[in-house]
Amino acid sequence: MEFLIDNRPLWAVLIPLCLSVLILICHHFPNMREFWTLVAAAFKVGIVYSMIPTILAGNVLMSATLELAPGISLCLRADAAGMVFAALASLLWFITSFFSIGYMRSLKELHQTGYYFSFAICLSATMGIAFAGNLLTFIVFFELLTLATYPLVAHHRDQESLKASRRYLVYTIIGGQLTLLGIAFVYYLTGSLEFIPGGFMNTDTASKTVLVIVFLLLLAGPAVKAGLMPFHGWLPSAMVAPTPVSALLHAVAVVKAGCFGIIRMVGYVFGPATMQAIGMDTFLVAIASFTIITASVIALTQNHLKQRLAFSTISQLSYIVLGIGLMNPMTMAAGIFHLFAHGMMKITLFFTAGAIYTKTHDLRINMLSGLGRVMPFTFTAYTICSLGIAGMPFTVGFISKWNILMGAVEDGKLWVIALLLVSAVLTCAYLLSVSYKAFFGKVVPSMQHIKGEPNLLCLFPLLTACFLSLVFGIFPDFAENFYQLAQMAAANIFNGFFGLGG
Amino acid sequence: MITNAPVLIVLIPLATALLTPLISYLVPKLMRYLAPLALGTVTLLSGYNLYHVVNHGAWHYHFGGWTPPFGIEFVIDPLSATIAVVVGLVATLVIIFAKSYLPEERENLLKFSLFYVLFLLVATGIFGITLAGDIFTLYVFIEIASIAAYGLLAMGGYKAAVSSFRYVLIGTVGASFYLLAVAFIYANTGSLNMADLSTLLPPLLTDRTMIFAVAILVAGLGIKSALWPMHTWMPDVYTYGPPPAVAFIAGTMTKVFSYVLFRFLYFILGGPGNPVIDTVLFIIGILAAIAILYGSIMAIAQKDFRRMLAYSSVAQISYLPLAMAIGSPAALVGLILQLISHAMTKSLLYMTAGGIDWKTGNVNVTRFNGLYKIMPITCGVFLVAACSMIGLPPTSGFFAKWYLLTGSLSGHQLLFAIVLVISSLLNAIYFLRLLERFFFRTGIDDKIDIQIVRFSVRELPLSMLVPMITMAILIVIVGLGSGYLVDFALQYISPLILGGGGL
Repeated sequence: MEFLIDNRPLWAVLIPLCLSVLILICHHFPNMREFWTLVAAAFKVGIVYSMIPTILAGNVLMSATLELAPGISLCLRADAAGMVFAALASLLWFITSFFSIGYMRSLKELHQTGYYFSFAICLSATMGIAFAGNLLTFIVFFELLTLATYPLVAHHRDQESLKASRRYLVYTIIGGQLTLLGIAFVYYLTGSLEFIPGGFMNTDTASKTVLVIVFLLLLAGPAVKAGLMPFHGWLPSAMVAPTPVSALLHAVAVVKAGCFGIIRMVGYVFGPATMQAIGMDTFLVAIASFTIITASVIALTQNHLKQRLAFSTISQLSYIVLGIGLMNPMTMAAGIFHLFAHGMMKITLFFTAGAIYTKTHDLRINMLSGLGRVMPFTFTAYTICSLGIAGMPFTVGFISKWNILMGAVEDGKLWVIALLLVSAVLTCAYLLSVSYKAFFGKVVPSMQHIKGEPNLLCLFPLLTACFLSLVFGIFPDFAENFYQLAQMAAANIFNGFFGLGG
Repeated sequence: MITNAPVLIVLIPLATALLTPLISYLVPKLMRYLAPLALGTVTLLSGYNLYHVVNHGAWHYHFGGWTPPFGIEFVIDPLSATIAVVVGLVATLVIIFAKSYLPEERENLLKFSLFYVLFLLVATGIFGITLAGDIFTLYVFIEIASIAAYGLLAMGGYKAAVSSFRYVLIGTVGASFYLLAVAFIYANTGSLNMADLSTLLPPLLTDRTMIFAVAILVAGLGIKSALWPMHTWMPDVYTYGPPPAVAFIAGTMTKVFSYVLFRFLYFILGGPGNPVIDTVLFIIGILAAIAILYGSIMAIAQKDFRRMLAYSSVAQISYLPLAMAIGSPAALVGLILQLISHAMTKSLLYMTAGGIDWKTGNVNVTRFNGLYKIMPITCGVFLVAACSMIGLPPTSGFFAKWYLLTGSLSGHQLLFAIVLVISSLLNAIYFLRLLERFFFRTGIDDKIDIQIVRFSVRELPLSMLVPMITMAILIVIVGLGSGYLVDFALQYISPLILGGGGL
C-alpha cells in the first residue's frame, strides 16, 4: 500500500461548492440552474469513480492540505471506507438530481434555487466527511452538513416545516458541539487527531472511565445523525421536507454521515481492541438491537408512508451500528457494505413515495389502496426494494445481513439470528402491507381520477435505482466493487494499517 | 518616513481629526474621503510594522530620542502589531461603511464632520493603547479613546445622549481607578515603563499597597472592558449609539482593554504562579464564566436587534478573561484568535444592523420576516457572522473556540470547557432564530411586511456593501488561515506561549 498525492478528493469537495455559486446566479433561468446541478453531479461521480481502481489496488489518495492549526491540517484522504460512502453518495446524488427536477417541477415548488443550492453544498460536505483524514476536518464538514440541510428541511416555510427544522437543529447542533468537545478531549489526551485504521486511543492513554466519557462525547454527533434511539426524534419530523430531500439526505447523506462517523470513531479513533477493553462494543450492540426492534414496531403504527419509511430508516441504520458493534471483520465489512446496500434500496422506496405523491398529493397508506394496479411499475419497484430491505436473497440487502449473521455465528452470538429473524418479519409486515393494499385493495373514491404512472423524470431514476439494487444483490462486486471495498476497510481496521488485508 | 511608522500610526489619524473641520468648511466633498484615506494609510503602515517586527524582532520606538525609563516609547511586538492591523482594518472598513450612513444635507455638515473627528480620535486612542510602551502614555490614550467615544456614541439622538452620559460616569470611574493604580505603582517603583516594570513589579506583589494597586487596576480595566458585573453601561450605549460608531467601538475598544488587561497580568505582573495574580485570574475567570452565560441568556430575551448584539458582546468579550484565567498556551492562542475574530465579527454584525436600520428603519427582530427577499447580501454576510459567533466552521470563530476548548482541557479547567460549549448552544439559539426569520419566515402567501424607507438603491449603497462583504470574506480567510496565523505571527508573541508546549 502507498500514500499517493492526488488532488481528486479535494476536487470532489470543491466542484459542487464552486458550482453551487453558479446555481445561485442562475436564479432566474431554471434550465441553466438545473443544468449546473447535473454538471456538478456528473463531475463528481466521474471524479469519485475514477479513484476506485487506485483505492482497490491498496493505495490511499492524499490531497494537498491546508494547515488549520499547528500539527492539524484540513486533510482530505480517500481510503476504502471513505470510498464506499463517497461513491454511494455521489452516485445517488446523480440519480436524485434527475428525480428532483421531475418532482419539483411537477409539484411547482417554490424556492427551488435555494433548494438546489443547499443540495450542492450538502453533497460537498458529504464528500468532505467521507474523505476527512482527521477529526478536525471531519467536524468541519459535519457541521457544514448540518447547516446546509437546515434550509432543505425548512423548505416549505410553513409552521410545520419550521418546527421540524428547529427540532433538527436542536438535535444536531447539540450533538455536534458534544462531539467537538470530545475531539478536544482526544487532542488533549493524545495530541493527535489523525484517523488511523485500528485506532490510536488505547487503554494507556487514559483511564477507562475517561475513555468511556470521551467515546460517548464523540459518539453524540454521529449518533444523532444516525438516528440511534433515543436520539432519533428529529428524523421522522424532518420528513416534512420535499421527498427528494428525504430520499437523498434523510435516507442517504445525513444519516449515513452519522453511521460513517460511527465507523470512523470506532474503527479509526478507538479501534476494536480499545472498544472491547472499555466495553463500549456491547453498549453499541445493545443500543442498536433496541433501536432495530423498537423502530420497526413504531413503523407498524404509522399511517403516513414517509413516516413509515422514516422509522424503517432508523431501524435499518442500526444494522450498520450492529455490524460495527459486533467487532468481527465480517460484521464490520457487512456494516460498511450496508451503508451502500441500504442507501440503494431506501432511496428507491423514497423515490416511489415521492413519485406517488406527485400524482396523489396524499401519502396516507389507507388512501393508496388499489393504486398498485394504476401504477404497476412504481409499486413493483417498491415491493422489490421492500423485500430487499427485509433481506431477501438476490437483493443487495441480503448480502449485508447474511454477513452480519455469519460473523455473529462465528463468534457464537446466536441470539443475533433471532434478532435478525424478528426484524425481518417486522420489516415485511410494515413495508409489504403497503404493497398488498396497493395491489389487492379497492381504490378509494377520491383517488379514482388518478391514471397512469408518474412522469418519466420521476419514474426513470426510480427504476434505475431499483434495478441497481437487484444487480448489486446478484453481483455484489459488479462494476464498482463495493463489497471488496467494504472488506478492505474492515481488514484495515482489524489489521491496523491501510491497504489490502490478509 | 517609514522609520517613523510607529508614531505615524497615531499621528496620522490625530492630524486628520484636527484638519477635518477645516476641510469640511472649505471642501465638503473631500471630507468624506479624507478619513477613509487616513485610516487606510494607517492600516498599511501597521501592516508594514507587522512585517518589520516579524522579520527583525520587537521594535522599540523612542520619542525624541529619549531612552526609557525617562522617555516615552512605543513597543511594537508581533502581538501588538497584529492587533494594530486588525484595528486598522476594522476602522477603515467601518469608516467606508459610515459614508452613506451620514446624512447628505449640507446643513448637517458640522454634525458629520464632528462624527469623523471623533471617529478618528477614537482610532488614535486605540492605536495608542495597542502600541504604548509605558503605563502613563497608555492612560493618556485610554482617555483620548474614551472621551472621543463618549461623544461619538452620544451622536445617535436623545436616548444615545442619556446612555452615553451614563457611560461617561462609569467610564470615568474606570479610568480613575486605572490612574490611581498607575500612581501607586509609580510611587512604589519609580518607573512607568512596561519593560522596566516587568522586572520591578513582580517581587513587590507581597506588599499590601501593590496588591491594592493591582486590584483597582483590574477593576478599572474590568469596567472599561465591560466584564460582568461592570458591564451595565454597555447594552444601552450599543443600542442607541449611531451604528457605524458602535460597529467600530464594539468591535475594537472593549477588546483592546481586555488586551491591556492581558498585557498587565501576563507580561507586566509576571503571569500565573504568583498567588496574587492567581487569585485575580481565578476571580476574573469566574466572572467571565458568569458573564458568558448571563450575556447569552439576556441576548435571547431581547427584541431589539442592536440590544441583542450588545448582550452577545457581554458574553463574547468575556471569552478573553476566561482564556486568561485558563492560562494554558493553547488558551492564550485562543485569546488572540478570539480577539481578532470577534473584532471582525462584531463589527460586521453591527454593520448589518446599521444596514438593515438604514434600509427599513426597523431594528425589532420580530419584524424581520423574509428580509432575505429585500436584502440578500446583507442576510448572506449576517449568516457568515452568525456562524462565526456560534463557532461553526469554517469561520474564524470556530478556530478561536477550538483553541479555547483544547486550552481549557489542557489547563485542567473542564468547567470552562463546558461553559464554552453551552455558550455556543445559547448563541446558536438567538442567531439561528434570526436566520430563520431572515430566510424562511416569509408567511404563507409569500407576503413580506417589511417597510422600506430608502428606495434610492436596490439593497444598500456599494459603500456599505463592500465593507460588509470584505469583512465576511476576511472572517472566513482568518478562519481557514488560522493555522498560518498561529504559526507565523503568534509564535513571536512571547516565550510564554511558545515555551509552554502542548499547543
